[in-house]
Amino acid sequence: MRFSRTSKALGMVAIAALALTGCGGGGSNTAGGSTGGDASKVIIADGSEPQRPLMPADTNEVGGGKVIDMIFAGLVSYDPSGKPVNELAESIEGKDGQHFTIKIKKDQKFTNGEAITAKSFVDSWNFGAAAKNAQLSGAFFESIKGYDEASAEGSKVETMSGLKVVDDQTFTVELKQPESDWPLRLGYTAFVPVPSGALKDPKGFGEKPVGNGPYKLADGGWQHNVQIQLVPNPEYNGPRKAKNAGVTFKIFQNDDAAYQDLLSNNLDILQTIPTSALKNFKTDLGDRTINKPYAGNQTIAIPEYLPEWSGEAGKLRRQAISMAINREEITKVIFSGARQPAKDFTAPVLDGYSDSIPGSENLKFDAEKAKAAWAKADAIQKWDANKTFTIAYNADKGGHKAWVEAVVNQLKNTLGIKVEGKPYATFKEARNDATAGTLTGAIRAGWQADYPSLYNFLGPIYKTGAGSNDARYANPAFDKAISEGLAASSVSEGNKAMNKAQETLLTDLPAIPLWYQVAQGGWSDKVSNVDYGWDGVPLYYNITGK
Amino acid sequence: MATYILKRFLQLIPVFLGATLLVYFLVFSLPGDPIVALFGDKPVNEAVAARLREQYHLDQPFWIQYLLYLKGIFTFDLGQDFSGRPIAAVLGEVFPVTARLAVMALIFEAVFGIIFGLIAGLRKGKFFDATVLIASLIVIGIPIFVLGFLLQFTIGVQLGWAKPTVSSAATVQDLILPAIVLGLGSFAYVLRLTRTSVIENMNADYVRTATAKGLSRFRVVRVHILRNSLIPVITFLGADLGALMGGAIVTEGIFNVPGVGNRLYRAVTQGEGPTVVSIVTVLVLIYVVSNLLVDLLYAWLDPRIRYDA
Amino acid sequence: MTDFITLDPVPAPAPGKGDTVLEVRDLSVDFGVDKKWVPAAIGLNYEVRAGEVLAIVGESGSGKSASSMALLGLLPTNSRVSGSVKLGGKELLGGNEANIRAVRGKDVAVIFQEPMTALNPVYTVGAQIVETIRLHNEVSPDQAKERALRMLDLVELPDPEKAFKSYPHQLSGGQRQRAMIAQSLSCDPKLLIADEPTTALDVTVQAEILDLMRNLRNKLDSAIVLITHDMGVVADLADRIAVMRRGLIVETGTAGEIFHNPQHEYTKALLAAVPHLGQGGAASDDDVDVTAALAAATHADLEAVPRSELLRRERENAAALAAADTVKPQGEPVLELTDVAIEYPKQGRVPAFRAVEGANLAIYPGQVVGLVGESGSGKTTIGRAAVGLLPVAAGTMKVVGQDISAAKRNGRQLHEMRRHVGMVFQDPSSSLNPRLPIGESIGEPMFLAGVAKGAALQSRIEELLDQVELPRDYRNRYPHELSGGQKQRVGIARALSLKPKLMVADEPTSALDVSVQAKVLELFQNLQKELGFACLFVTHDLAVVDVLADRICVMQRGRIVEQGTRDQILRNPQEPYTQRLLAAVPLPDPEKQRERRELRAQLLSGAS
Repeated sequence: MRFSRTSKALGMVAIAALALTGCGGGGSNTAGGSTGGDASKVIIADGSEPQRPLMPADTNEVGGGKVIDMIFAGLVSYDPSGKPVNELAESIEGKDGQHFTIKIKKDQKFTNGEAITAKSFVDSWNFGAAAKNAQLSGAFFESIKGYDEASAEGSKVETMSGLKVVDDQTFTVELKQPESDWPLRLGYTAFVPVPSGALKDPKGFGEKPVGNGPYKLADGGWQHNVQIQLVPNPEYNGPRKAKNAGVTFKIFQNDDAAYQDLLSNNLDILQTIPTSALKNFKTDLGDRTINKPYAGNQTIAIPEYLPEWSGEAGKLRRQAISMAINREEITKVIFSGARQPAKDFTAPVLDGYSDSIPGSENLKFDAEKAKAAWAKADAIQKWDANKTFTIAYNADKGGHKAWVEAVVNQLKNTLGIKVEGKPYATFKEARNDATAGTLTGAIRAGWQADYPSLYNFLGPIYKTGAGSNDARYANPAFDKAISEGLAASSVSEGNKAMNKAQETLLTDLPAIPLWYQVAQGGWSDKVSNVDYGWDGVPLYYNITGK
Repeated sequence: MATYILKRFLQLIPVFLGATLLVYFLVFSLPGDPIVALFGDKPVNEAVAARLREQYHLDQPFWIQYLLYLKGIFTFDLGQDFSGRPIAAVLGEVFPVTARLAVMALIFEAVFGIIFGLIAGLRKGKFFDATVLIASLIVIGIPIFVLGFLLQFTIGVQLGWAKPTVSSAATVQDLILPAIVLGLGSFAYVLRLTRTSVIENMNADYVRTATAKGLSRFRVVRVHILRNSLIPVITFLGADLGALMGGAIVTEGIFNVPGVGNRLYRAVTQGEGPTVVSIVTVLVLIYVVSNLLVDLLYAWLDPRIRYDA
Repeated sequence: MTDFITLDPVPAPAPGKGDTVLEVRDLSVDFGVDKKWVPAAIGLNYEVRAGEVLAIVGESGSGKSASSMALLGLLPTNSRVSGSVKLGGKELLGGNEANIRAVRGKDVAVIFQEPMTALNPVYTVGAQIVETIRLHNEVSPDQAKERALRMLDLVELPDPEKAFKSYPHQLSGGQRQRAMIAQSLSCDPKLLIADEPTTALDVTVQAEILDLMRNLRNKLDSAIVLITHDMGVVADLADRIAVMRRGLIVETGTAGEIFHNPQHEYTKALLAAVPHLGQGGAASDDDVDVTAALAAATHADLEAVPRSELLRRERENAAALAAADTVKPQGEPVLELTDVAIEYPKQGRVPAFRAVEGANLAIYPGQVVGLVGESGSGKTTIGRAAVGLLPVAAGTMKVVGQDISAAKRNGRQLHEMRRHVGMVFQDPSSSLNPRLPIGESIGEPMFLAGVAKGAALQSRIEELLDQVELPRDYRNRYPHELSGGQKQRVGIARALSLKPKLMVADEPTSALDVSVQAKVLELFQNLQKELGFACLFVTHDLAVVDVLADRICVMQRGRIVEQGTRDQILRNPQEPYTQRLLAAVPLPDPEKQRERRELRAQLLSGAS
């Protein structure tokens, strides 16, 4: 997950009345199939300045991610519903969930003419994983055998032993352990191949990346802090063929400015309607809006390392908290119905999602049960009446204050304890305390999927010792269930196992799921055929002029 | 005079050192590790983080970091920002844009502030004066971002007379509306300052003398009232140039101007120490130099002021 | 260029015999205050002829200045003017703006009171004069410059080229007033209105400017309207006099008539109130003939006085000096300066400035010492040092027996000393806290010093109010409710509250009108006699010193050039500077002033 994306999505607090009910696909256009339109139109879209050079494995935020996604093609890409579709891959085969053989299509080229071979992939992935290259998304290769050696601090090993080139079109991958959903991940931008030049001069490449995707960077197309101009790549022949004459990401510091630009048709598509415009955007834009759930959710993580939240009493208290939150009310009042109350730890757009996993009743508002659970916990370990339960959030972006306050009030009213919102000035500070394990209370956490898989919402966050395990949750039963799921022979078998693992989570509640994210965007009257992907990002290639 | 100017320029050295040290320290003291933040919610890859810290000297104690930064400056290398670009190049991109914006704002507030202030002063207590006074109070009272959004929406979106945000080139034409918003607050001050100054000077003995000499009203105003009234206004305007450049952050945000403020904001939130310090230091130097220019202009306008070395 | 005046001397016409230049009939001026018309001048009638000086005399608020500014429409917009003003038979009032503008500067020129502010500080003197010349004459810039230089030369500026290029602030007050006059005369006006032209100037400079104006009048045959409160100036220059009071002309007449045979009560009172040098104190009848004293000291002969008469007066003067009792001072000096130098300390980049050097002075109990000098002479500096407001840079200064030369600023020693020293300042308005009732202002020093509290304090305040002849119920009033003279009385009461042994008075009456000044001086003198404090009285006004002082110290450029008893200084001035200073003081009597003027002319030519 990438925080920035989440924060953008979370900006959509208090959305104007767009009922959750049945309005899932919201947009005026259907995905995929083109309904015609002007292909000579250059689409102006909102973007933000990439934080790092445009190297696929070094990009982990939305500004650069959007661009990488469009100028590169990997083995697979995701269709609007999140299903992987082969791009460069001819086939990805693996029976045991641990050993895969990947064949790539013939005669694929980068826009500089360099051929894309199995070696391109292996070299690119090795580059991304090797510690000496300091690539921010290097951890995406962690499942591959030999990753630990290559990524260790100061390591001299630059290749992963799990990757082997068989011939120009074939390479094999050996994972550390079975991970049945691993092929799902290959659509993530870190897995795309880069030309050999990029590995020699990553910094120079990052300024003027050369890819193989549906678009390529125009000459001098990256005007820093101003715009990034992409033009269609005529040689691209995958599923994401550009239906317009290019996409220009105009860089905005401020969503409000972007919205004004949208209103006056200077901007063709705005990915996320800013908080300030949520009241009016339906009136302003009419049917040129979209309201579509995507693979993201919002939770409150409660660290188990805090004494009053550990053990049995802690578990009961977390259940009490969870049942004391009226999700329906908040999504209705604060978000005007534009969030969906959470029923599990994942997201409804995902394959394998279920809203009736045993234990999901713990996510239902029930004041009496909440009080009872709290009292039960008090019987084990008395809650100090003077103690204040805090819910931390970052105040710099995302507009979290409103809902945190609402949750605070509900907890106060239902449980009769002292609760307060605890704003961090910046996201940076909040992350610091979360990663260092120095939280003094709960903290808001959001997760947006990197790839469409239930596991992505569970493993990286709740597995013992996982990198994003802010709650420091550790339950062998959960870990075991996850491992079984990864070892499953098929994705659907795996999904079942994952939901089994969720049952444990729903009882322990290391984090309290609140609601699922919904993408809300709008477009100008100069474009049509707008739809959003499973990840809440517009399908730019599909947009046409009117 | 030359000695005086030289002396003032020498004063820039301690100002420069002080400003860089202070700002560097403030950025250094910002809570949160910028490298950790780069990872977002992702698990921090310690090996990668260590490499990045080393690259940006973030693993060094404060003094070493600062001295390395200073060393960089004297070898004309300001370092790199997080996207790996030389900070000097970043400065070269953003400062011309903001300078253009600030100078336009300055011209706007100077021309209109002085004209309106002069007329109001000459017609003290009349309808025009009262209207302008109330209007300027309103302008001063309303926060700049409210005014900015208001003008952006009415002029940019509804009337469509200007684009609500600037184009990629940030041309003079694009910047007219942002410049007006940026200069609006100071415009009101210039107006009131000019007005007060004109009223004061209208009652001055030498204006009575000028009238008694038989000069026309126009000439009395132009030659004898205006120039004397402009002395405090010029001081304000000069000091304002620096303030406008540093204060453009809100306006730049509203109109999406790719200038200093936007870049600075991003650098601060990301904890890019060297970028913040470089931008702020240039701002400080601009401030100091514009003040020097004002002092020289002041001496030129008011012969009673003479600077000795 | 034909209009330009010639610079050749023209024989002076007999005063008042020229054509009527200005004719004023039923001139009334009202000011709009709080939506009501308040009259400033009511139904004025007068005329001025070519070559004649009409002096309009009156105290502040008499309407003399407002009525004169009304002639040219120079009043602020909240004013209303009615009546008729004819210049050379042409009506100025009621015409259009262009009409009166054409007259301004060309036919009628004005000299204002404040030479400091009457010239625009940001343009050179030359530029401003050239502006005037080119406005009214079709001449090239070079011709205008040449003309301006000649005007600057005409007003006897020592270096016209330099003055031309100078900015106003680079000139002294006198030079500025000369430049102002040069500008006024540059277009050969038929009428010159001079509004208090010398009030802001030192007495010697004033004498020079008056000489200049007299010469110009004689040379140019212009009519002059002189507006002043100073009877000495009037006596020196005026041919005819109009006395104004509360907007009305109460009396008009020739200079001789007004000075020697005043008809109106107010004129009489005004003349009586004017202190003139040599007159002595209120109770004194021993008039000093300063003219004779100066004549004797400089061995001068005067055309205006027969030689035998002059000699008689000189002998009389010498006899009086010999007879003057030389009372030996008694007791320890209250203030004693020995070779004192005083510096203004360095401030930022402004270096320290030594304002007084080698001053020796002693004041004994009960003695009043007048410290006179012109601006910049250092007299105020000594006054301030005596109360510890400025440090002593060299020498010793003893106040009330204590050596304060080395006292620390704001230290205990100065604090102690100040209890015995009272201070009265020049500006009564700014030296009183506007937010305190005057009773509290008076009582404050006593309260702070802890000498009186409660009822005792209240009765002491009442006693002090009695002493300065203010009604007791004034204690509850605020300073703005009081007139200038009353405020200065409060200042004196406050200075007296701690029963000081020494009083330092810095120009306490120079901001006051003549009649008020006379009363305050009388009060001060009576109080001094009654309470017996010693006093250092700092002033620029020799006549005031003459009224009050037992001893006189004359200062020039930071040094005490001469000191002695009143009789020694007035009857037998030895130092040339003292002589020049005395000779420059105009006498409010046209004949005596003529003698004095002649004497001064001789003094100056002898000196040069």
